[in-house]
Amino acid sequence: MHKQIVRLLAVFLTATLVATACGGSSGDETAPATTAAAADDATDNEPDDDAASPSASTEPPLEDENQITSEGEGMNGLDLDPVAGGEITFALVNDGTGFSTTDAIAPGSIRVITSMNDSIAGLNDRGEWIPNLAESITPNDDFTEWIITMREGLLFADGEPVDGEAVRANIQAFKDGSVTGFAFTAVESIDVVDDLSVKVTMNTPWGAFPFQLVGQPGWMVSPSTIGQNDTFMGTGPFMLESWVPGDSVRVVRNPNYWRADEGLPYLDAITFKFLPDQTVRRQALEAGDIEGYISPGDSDIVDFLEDDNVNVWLGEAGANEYLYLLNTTKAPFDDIRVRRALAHATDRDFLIENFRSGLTTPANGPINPSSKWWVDTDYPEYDLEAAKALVDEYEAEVGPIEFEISIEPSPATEEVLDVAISFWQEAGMDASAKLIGGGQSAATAIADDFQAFSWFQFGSPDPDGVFTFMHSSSGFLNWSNLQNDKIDEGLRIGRENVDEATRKEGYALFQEGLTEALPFIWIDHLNGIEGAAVMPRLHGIGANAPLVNGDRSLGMTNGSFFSWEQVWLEP
Amino acid sequence: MRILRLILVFFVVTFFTFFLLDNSPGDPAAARAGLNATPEAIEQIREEMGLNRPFLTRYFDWLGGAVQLDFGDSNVVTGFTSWRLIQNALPKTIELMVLAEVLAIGISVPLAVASARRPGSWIDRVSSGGAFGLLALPAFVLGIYLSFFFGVKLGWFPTIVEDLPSIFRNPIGNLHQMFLPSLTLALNLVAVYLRLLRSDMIDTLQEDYVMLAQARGMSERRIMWRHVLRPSSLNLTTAIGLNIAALIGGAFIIEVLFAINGIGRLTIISVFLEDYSTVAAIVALLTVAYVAANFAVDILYSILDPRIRHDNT
Amino acid sequence: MTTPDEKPQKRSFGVIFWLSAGWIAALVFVALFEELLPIRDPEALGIRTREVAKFEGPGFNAFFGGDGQGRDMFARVLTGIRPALILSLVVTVLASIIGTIVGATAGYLRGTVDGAIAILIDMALAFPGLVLLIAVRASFGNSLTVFIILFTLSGIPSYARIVRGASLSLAEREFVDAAVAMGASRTRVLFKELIPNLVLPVLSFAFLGFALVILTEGALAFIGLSMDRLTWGQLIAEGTNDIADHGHVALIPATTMFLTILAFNLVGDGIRKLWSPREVATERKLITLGDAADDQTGGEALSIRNLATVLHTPDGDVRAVDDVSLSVMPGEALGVVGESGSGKTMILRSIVGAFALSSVTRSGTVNVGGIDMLRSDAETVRSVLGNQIGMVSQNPLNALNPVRRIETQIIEPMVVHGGLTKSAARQRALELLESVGIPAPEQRLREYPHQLSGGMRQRITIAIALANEPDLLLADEPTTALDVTVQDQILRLLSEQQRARQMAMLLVTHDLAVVKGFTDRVAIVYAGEVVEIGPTSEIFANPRHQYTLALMRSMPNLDLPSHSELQTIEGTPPSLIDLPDGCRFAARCPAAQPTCEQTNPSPVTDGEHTYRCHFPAETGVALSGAVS
Repeated sequence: MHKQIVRLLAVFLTATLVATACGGSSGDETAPATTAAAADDATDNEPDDDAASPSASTEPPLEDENQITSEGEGMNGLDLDPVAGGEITFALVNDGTGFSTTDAIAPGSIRVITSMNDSIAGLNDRGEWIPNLAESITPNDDFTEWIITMREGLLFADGEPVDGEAVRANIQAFKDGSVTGFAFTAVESIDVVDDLSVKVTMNTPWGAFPFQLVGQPGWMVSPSTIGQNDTFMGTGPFMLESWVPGDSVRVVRNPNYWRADEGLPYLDAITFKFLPDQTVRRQALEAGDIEGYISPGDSDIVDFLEDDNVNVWLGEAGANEYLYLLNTTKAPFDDIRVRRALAHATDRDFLIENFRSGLTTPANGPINPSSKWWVDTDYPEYDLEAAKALVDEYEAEVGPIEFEISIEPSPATEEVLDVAISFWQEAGMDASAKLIGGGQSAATAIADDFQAFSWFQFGSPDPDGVFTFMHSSSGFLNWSNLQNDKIDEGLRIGRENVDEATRKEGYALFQEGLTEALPFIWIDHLNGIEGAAVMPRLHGIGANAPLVNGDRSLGMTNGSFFSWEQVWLEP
Repeated sequence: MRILRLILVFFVVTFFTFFLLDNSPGDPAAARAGLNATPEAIEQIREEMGLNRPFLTRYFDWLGGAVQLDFGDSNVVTGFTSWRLIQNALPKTIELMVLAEVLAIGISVPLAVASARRPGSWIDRVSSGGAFGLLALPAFVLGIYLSFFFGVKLGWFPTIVEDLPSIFRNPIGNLHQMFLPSLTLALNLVAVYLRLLRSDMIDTLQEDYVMLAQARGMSERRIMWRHVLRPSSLNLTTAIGLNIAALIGGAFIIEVLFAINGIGRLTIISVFLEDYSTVAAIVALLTVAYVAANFAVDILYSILDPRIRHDNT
Repeated sequence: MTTPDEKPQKRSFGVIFWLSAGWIAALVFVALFEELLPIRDPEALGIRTREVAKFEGPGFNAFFGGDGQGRDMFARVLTGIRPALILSLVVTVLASIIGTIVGATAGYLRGTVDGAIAILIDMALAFPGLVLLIAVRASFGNSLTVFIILFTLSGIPSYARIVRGASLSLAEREFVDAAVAMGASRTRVLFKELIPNLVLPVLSFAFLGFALVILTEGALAFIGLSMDRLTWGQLIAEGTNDIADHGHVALIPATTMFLTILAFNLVGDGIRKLWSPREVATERKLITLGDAADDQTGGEALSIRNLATVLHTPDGDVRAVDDVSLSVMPGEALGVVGESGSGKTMILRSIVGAFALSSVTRSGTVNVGGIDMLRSDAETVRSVLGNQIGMVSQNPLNALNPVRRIETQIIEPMVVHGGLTKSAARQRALELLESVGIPAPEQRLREYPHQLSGGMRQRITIAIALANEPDLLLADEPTTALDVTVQDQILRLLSEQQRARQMAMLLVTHDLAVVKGFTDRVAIVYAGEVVEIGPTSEIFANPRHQYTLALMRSMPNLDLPSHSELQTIEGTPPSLIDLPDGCRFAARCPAAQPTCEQTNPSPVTDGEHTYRCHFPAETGVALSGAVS
């Protein structure tokens, strides 16, 4: 087996998978890190904490069943008095391909946009949406019409007003976008109601619609710049000063920021520097050349947890999942026995122990166990004998199991896949890795040119985010091509209702269907390793910052988990 | 004659590049259209991009634009022209290359002079041994360890280049950032230059005119620097010239290690992302660089060696 | 050059060479018998097999430790040997052979073929290899074969370029002309005559190229463009993520790669030195042995007492000058005559202390104007050289620095030693040029040596020698390399200047006719010794040494200027490395007796006439010869 190392090429690697649905993205180990909640041992009171089992200290017990995230044990800076001023350099793994809100946006761009954007809706730490730029977001009785009313006096960074017409223009452009439009097939029309309000009309009931407004459909840019790729005239705390593609983006304080009277943002400017090479990133932080970086590897996290000079912030929920995507219309995965055998043959705990340093949570589906939507299903546990039995049964009937599993070049992920393959081979399945071009995952999956896939995605706080990728009505975006009544029905119930109990029932049905049909072999929720490493004097990263209504934020908008306006630098 | 030849080189190389890119797998139209584009949409984009026209027409169109530095829009980074991407990358690459050459020459020439003056002396042994060592050290290993020790451990220099100030306005700030990458690049060159110049100087030292200069009571220093160095530097000049052209696109390892968005990095990204217009622009640029470096070497030759100057006239 | 013929001689390679060769041999062994060696599967995941732990340190279990998946680094590094060797060796051999053929064809055939190949080379060099590599990988994959082809293709132009340059100059050499004259076909000349002579430059470059292949593969692996086999570059790239905490994972393959390239370079260097002994690094020292003689009789412009000069060359110690004593009074011209290789030029070199690249030991005394040239401090010696001695060398084509203007060269001694300002020196340079008979001196000053004829250049060399009004003029075969018609003019010029300025002159030549016309006294040199010395007329009238006699007899007509070497004395002079015990001329001497072979005769002085011979010729014997 040959191992491909890609450093530089990680740039743009994850480009062009649409980020419309919450958390939708795929790629390598650099997939978007999500959600806040701190875990740092700067004040760790377990001095003899063993590196082999750090998860004990990074998974704080949930205080409240409805609480998705926890502040953890680290200092998030919220209890200190923020100091205004200063500039920082923050390293990201990849650049994206630009800032046009009506195109597919790569995770690299999304992370930058987070600093320049405030969405129509926000998420609080209980996973509920709240109006953010909007004064109110109200549905009609059957959730086929939503009225969005904006706050008064909002301005874009260029001084233009954020009015009803601007909102309509943005959402319309999103719906009309050749790539983005598919996420809004349920939207019939967008009309201006009055100076500050628009009405969005659906062709089916859509109770979870406001969650969409947290993400890309809810990003507002100055109407004259809609669709422009090299600028972002948004409503966030910072505005774009310069972009050198592949190298860096510099943002500076937005003079028209709507929360400026709260003293926000604290920083004067942020330079996002793209450092695809993990060695370079880590060295730059240790040398003090950058104030922080995103996506440290698991071994970096373990090291940093013991290092007082570096703080680590880890996502606790809403992180991506790592999984093996199976094409259920192609042999051998058109047979449930093979899918089941694969699940039985995969030792998730071994992978988590060896490649995540035990930091992540085993996954049974796209919903994190810490989420209120999660239910325990009878997901096949690691059982080599069971796997062998299923393989023997299938082989006696059909023939030997041989398959190729596609993967984008990424050293860390390939290492994991190597081991997974060794498990499958042990069970008698002849698997091999097939390297595809960087950034080609989505296109390959859409073209159905795969048997199995090494895959990162989901991590959405609200399960409606997975609708597009698992509901059989989504056509080619239904990755596994599976038609399953339980899944479809469960997703439909979740989408059309707002009543939590009803939705919970729907998503329980959905999760049951997933476990029965097994279109995906789940490995883990990456909450323990998607995070950021920062210098201790940089505060507010990973904070559950106060939202405009006083709630604590989930801080998560589509793969980016910083409330940049809350970040401040200790002088 | 030579000019004509080099112009021919330019045409053939750019034509070949165009041909190669035209025939490589991957469809730029599909790449631009995005993942769920219909075949019609792709076809429309293909039409818009002019990909349906005959190959030769497209080549000459492109060439006409290229002469005015108009290489078209980047196929990948929407909103940027290929030339703008190159403009972002070129100054840093050129600075890196120039600094590395200056450092390499600054280190290797005095060492070569000292070594050639006393072959077999300790300084010769040390510098020859060092040259062998440097020759065997891959730049990516050297770079990582240099930035590990001088950047992380000692903290003397930054490990990455960010927000580089202009060398003219803030030379100290600029050089502080560019020192480690330039040094990494230079150290490999030092080995080559040192060996080349030392050997040529030893050859020159056998010449009668050197003996006569000695017999005229000229000091050794004066002999080495004024009498021996220049006639011995022709091969070195060639090596430097070829390196200049090669380093503009070839310093990618250094650019990755020190996070410099230079031409080398841009080349790799562009080829991988099938940003064909940028690749074509880079190839044209590198060819021009090669041609220009060759001219420069010719001119330097005739300055260094009057015999060549007068042969040409 | 008066060094003896360079004999190919066995040299020891030294410990480093053999260590390097041993390292390469070990690599080759592993590459050949990899399957038979008791090593672990390089891809076996230690974390699953429990044989090697994650990031296990080097030790007895795994010699080089384990990587992040517990794979045995020892097995992985060993597995990397084969692709490294195959790629670098095959590419180097293929590229150098094809490049040599292409380059030699271009350099030899010239014309259109050369033009076409030169353009092709330019194109290949101008095209960015990275783009080609990525494009080809996309279409043809990344197998070893694809890499070999790509690397070879991108290597050929460099070899071809070097070889073309080398063969352009080689094609003009005699042996090629000779072969063509003998009717050899062009192809035959190309392959039999030209290409063998290109081996050295190609070989030198090949070892560099070899290192380059491994380094380039490593660099490509580092950015993820490697081939489909496990290579060192990939191992290093994998390991660099962990250099801070698990340094061995990157350091061990990096060190292996380093040592391998080093070994190949060192072996290459050792082999190259066989061909090119000049580059052998010997320390260059000027050593003086013994004390100065104290017989300062005074008044001589130059006084040499018992001078012995030994050149320490890699082939052995060359006794170039042996127990030479002679002196020249102001205004006197002394001829020094001998065959080439006799050491006559080395006498001059010993006076000025300028030698080519070897250590030299001098003993005895050389006094110029009363100053000990062997033992005074460097400053004093340089001052004497600059102010009191002028020197003219054999080959005017080589005596002037080709890249400096005449003006720079002529005023340099005046500015450095004469203390003149540049403009004063320039004024004097014009006068000097005029006095040595150079027309349009203003224009000459601005020119470069190659723009002037040989005779003109020698006049300029003389002008430089005269620049600081020296007391002693050293002329080393000043006319040998010149056209016959110019020889006499130059000699006359020298002589005129010497008389007019009352300088002492040492005129080294192999040409007795020159001596006869232009010197007051003459010294005959053979095998490093002065075998006979005396007034010119006396020597010609009464040559006593058998060698002197033979010299005179070998000249058909002394009145005709001769520019051919004296070859008519049978036999060859002895090697200066391995001198006979007895008379050095004995082996060739018609009058030799057994004594001659046993003891070297001591100088016998007969008034002003001194000679070393056991059986001197009768006086007046030469008159019966050809001298008329």
